Amino acid sequence: MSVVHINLPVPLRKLAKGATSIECQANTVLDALLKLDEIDASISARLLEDDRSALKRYINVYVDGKHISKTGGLQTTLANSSKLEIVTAFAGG
Amino acid sequence: MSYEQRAVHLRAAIPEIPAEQVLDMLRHDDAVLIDVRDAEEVKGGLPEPAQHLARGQLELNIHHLVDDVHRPIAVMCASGLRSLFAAESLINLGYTKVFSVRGGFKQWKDAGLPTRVPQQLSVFDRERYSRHLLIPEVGEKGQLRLKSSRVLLLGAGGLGSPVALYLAAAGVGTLGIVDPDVVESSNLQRQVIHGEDQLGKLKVDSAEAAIHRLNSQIKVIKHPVLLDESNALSLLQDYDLVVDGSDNFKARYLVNDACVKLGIPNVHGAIYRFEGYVTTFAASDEAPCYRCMYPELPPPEMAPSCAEAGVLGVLPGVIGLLQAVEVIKLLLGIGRNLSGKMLRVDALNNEFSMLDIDKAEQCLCSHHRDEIQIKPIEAFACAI
Ligand SMILES: [Zn+2]
Repeated sequence: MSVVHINLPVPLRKLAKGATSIECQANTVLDALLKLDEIDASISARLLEDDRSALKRYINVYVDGKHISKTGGLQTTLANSSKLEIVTAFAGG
Repeated sequence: MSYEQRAVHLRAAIPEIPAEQVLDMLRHDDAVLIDVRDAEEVKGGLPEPAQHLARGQLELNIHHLVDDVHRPIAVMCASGLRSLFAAESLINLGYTKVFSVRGGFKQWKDAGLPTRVPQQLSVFDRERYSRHLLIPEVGEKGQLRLKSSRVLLLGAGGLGSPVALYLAAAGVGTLGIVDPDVVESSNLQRQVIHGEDQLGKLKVDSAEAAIHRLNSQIKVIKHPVLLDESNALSLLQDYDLVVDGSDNFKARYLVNDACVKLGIPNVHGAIYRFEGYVTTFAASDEAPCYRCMYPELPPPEMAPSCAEAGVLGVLPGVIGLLQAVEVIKLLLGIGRNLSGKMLRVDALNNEFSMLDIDKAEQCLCSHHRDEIQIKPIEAFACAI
């Protein structure tokens, strides 16, 4: 298992008691996103389609700066100390 | 040899052509016409096809205009005398086909040949924008380009404030501002274009006053209206570029769709608490758009709500000025812009990261952009 670092988008932080990021052990992006359910059981359902085959259309995930659509999608394998960034839109100006 | 004797000598040595023949030479012989009068003299007009290069700059800069020494050059001054001396200098530099235009610009005008008034910065502007003129990537040409540019600011709020102030200071000639709101005291913590004395006034009026205090030459076009599907195209269509500093999803998608349809670059900024995003949606065939990254709006539980709508007061300064830099570069056509890249700024941790945005094949920006319909956007009321 790789130890990876996940940056949480703002709407998830209140579920993580204000944490902006967490560390967990995961081999793939899907593993890592499912691990977030240990913080709050509703999180993965907010990020993934019901069948867990794809991200919701308003979610973008980057691994070390690369969009996962280019690296193997949810099955992208994670190296030790990979950095996952979950990006959602906000519209403030 | 006296000046007069030299002039007589040159008249014999340098071939002269009548003004009426110059257009033919330009058309058929790939010749170039150079007006060597001083900057002051050409203010009133110069031959329509002429390049201006003052006598004092001629030797130093002629190679920028003519790099082939065998290309024919017609040299013109006011009356046809100085052009003889200028032609001699060019011959001495190795140019082989140099002509002096007989009778100079006076004869050109008398013959009814076409003229134009050159675009030039005034003495005042030269001083005012001197720090721009010293940068080769801007220069007088770039400054004139900024002056003739039209930029629409969507929102005169946190992002719109610094963008408007700096674009005005930089000399962007026309600034349109879309904002239906009035200035409230909770705005003053970050919306630096407004002040206490403007509380309760329309933001477009307040912004106009601040812009004109800074630069009275800027034309401000005020649109105190809410952007919606009925007015988006007509509001945007007369501008070269749009700066999206709006504060809701409905506007974000509307401005995206309208810019993509009209082919107008959209410099996007968004802020929340300590975080911000900046990118350019270039509205070209290759460039991705907002919908490529976010095909769907987030549901309420995945977007910050109004109750959470806090933002560090200085953050829009950082993000807005990154947008302003993009605007200047895009207007001048210099440097690299953020098309296809989202710059993410985490001010709390001093992290700047660059995220790729790919063009999505199934996105509306990938198919017949001009046929895009501007449809109402269903966004829940309170999300930022
Ligand atoms: Zn698109």
